[in-house]
Amino acid sequence: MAPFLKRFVSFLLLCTVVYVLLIGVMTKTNIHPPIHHNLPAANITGLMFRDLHQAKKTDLLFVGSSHSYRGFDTRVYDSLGWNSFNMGTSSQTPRHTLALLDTWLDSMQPQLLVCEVYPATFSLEMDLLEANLNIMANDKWQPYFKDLLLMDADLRLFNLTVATRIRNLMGWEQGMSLDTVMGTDQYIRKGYVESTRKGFTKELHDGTPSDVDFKQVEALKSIVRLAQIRGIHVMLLQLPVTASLYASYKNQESFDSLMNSIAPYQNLNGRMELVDTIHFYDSNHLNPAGAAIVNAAVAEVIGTPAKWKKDYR
Amino acid sequence: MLFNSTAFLFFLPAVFLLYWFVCNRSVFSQNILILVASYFFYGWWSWKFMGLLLLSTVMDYVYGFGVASANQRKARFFLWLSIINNLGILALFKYYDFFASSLQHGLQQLGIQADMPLLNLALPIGISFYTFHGMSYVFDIYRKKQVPVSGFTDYAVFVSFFPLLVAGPIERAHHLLPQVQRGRQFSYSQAVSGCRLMLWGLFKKVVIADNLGGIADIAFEQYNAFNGISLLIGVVAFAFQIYGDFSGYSDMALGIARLFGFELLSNFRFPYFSRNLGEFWRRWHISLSGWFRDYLYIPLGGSRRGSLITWRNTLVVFLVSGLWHGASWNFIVWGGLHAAGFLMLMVLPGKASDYNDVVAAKSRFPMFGELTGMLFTFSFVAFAWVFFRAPDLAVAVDYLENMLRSLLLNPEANLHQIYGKSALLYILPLVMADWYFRHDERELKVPGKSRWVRWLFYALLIFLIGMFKYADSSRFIYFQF
Repeated sequence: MAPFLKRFVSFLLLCTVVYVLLIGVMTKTNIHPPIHHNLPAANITGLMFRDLHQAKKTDLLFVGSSHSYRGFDTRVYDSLGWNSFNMGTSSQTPRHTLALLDTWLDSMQPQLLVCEVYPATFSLEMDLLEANLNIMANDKWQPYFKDLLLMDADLRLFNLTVATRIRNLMGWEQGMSLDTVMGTDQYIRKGYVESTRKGFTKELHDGTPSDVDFKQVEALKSIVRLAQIRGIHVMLLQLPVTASLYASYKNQESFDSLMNSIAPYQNLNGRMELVDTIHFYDSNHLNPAGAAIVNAAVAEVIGTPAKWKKDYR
Repeated sequence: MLFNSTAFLFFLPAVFLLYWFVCNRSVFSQNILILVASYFFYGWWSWKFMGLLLLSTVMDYVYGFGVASANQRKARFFLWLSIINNLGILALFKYYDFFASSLQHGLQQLGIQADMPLLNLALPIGISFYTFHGMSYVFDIYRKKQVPVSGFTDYAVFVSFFPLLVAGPIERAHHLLPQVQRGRQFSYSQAVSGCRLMLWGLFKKVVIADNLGGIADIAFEQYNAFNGISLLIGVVAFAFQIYGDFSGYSDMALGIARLFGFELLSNFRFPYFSRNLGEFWRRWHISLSGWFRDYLYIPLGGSRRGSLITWRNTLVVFLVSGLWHGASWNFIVWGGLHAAGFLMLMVLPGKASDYNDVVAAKSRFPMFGELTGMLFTFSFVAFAWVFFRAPDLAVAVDYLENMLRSLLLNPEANLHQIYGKSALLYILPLVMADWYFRHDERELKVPGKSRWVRWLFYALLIFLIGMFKYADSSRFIYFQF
């Protein structure tokens, strides 16, 4: 028995070394076998994190899913005299937002935190992996990564953690070119991404899953507390999706009432003249024309710092 | 709990260490540990069905004593009681809704309106496997191949031993029970060979089967959108997916059992190198084929009562085997197709029982005749898999129709294409490894004496498993049966 265990442990050590070395080789050479995620690579989220690491104090901070980074145009708010930043990432749920804000809120010191809330990100069926992979592949190694790892114990996340750590330790991210155009996405500035996709892709949808993940609700409450302790005003915003997708939602009323019970909340669906095929490029995402209309409305809803003090906790 | 899940990564070493370090003083304590671990393993999926497993175990344990009676009438009574109970459990959980809805549909076709109540029960995982274990025990006692075991723990371990509990191999009482009852010593070579088997099984499941499953799923779910070549690729991908998935599971089961000092029945012997359908069924899901041969085909008269009875028995075995896989008409058609193929083989010159040796036994490559036989057999088996994989008969027929129409009549149709390169990437290593090791039981022994070379190869396999892992714990196809 003892020889077996001894050799088994030696073999495990060898495996660990081989595993780490080969991930290192893949990270350096950018070899991406047909695995189901990419190791760290240039991405629009990488550009957002690069800007975030250089960002200073901000007035307005936006957080949320792809609705957020494709919706809140930081140029609009900057032109109104506010310094804004959009920390939205793909499929970001409140649990991810909480992990990010734990790290960044103190350095950003926003006056108003705008949380984009989207029913699907509160669903039990929400895939947490996409957001985790997207964040970890694009940020430098940070202590909050352990929260992401614990959130979804997936081997792919572990692989990515190893790859990110190696990349940072070796300083390989310095040489990564981050092009502002990625396929049909154009990174504008301070987290805002515009799509150059033409036309509208119709998608089938069976409505938002109705089972709410209360861990997400608790995370949102924690975000509100985290901000309030620091004297930061918070508002929750649900951004418009296509009318056909919105009509398919099964639990919108209860979602509205849940959000209202947590913080000042506005649902912008149906509040402005948007046409599915003109202002969206798919069921979920605004195109630049749609984003322009929505940002004008959002600016009005947000109002002035005097209003924040009055209306938003 | 799945063999490819994170939970199992902690479960297995914990049980292994307790087994050899804490419970190594007596067989009884080792068996108790295995029993507790097996119920924990099963309960991880659903604790509610642990009661059903226990009930099935207790029933067959008790019936075993009755069947052993010298009084023939009493023995026969308990034998039938066991059959009725086991098949009753299966009928209730697995088949009732299928037969009720089929009857309702049939009556509606005749213009009779009938509203059959459906139970909509969840199918307990592994039910087809552990009920067959129980029946094998009672049958073996009835045929005087086995005496009833006195210790309930021993019998319960035989039924619920966790490596084979949910997807086999379907063990025989006379093979496994003696191993449960006798003392087990740790064997270095057995443990190492178990680790090799587990690693190869995991590789086949995670790297090959799960990734081919992605290709097959796209083809079968959107078969209207793809051209004939793509649908053909989908069928081949599924053929290797199910082989990698199920043989991978079986290898892991055998490997895990070896870690605890047990030898389980082999379930696969390179089935896609079979030169005819008869050989295929001696190499595919061997433990089930053997079960049906011993407990259904032979009691029905086997091949000893003339051609007609032999054909009838063959047909019955294949149809029942189809139904065993699932309560659905497409499984019955799948069984029927294999029956038809087998019967044709029986009337053709040369017997279905030919080819007991390994293909290209004394050469590196197969002879032309062997190669043709292998390709023909694989094509037939893959064709039948369409009925196995499709959600219902209509989809299977549509799938085949779309594939053949596109291939034969309109190959340039403006349809999407699945590229075969990615499927080949997964299929080729499996075929090459199987061909290389076809003379032996699969164990993936790397040739050469240098331990470092062997270890580096195994470490590379582990790296590939880590890189190609599709999801945290994708289920095994045979869990649904």
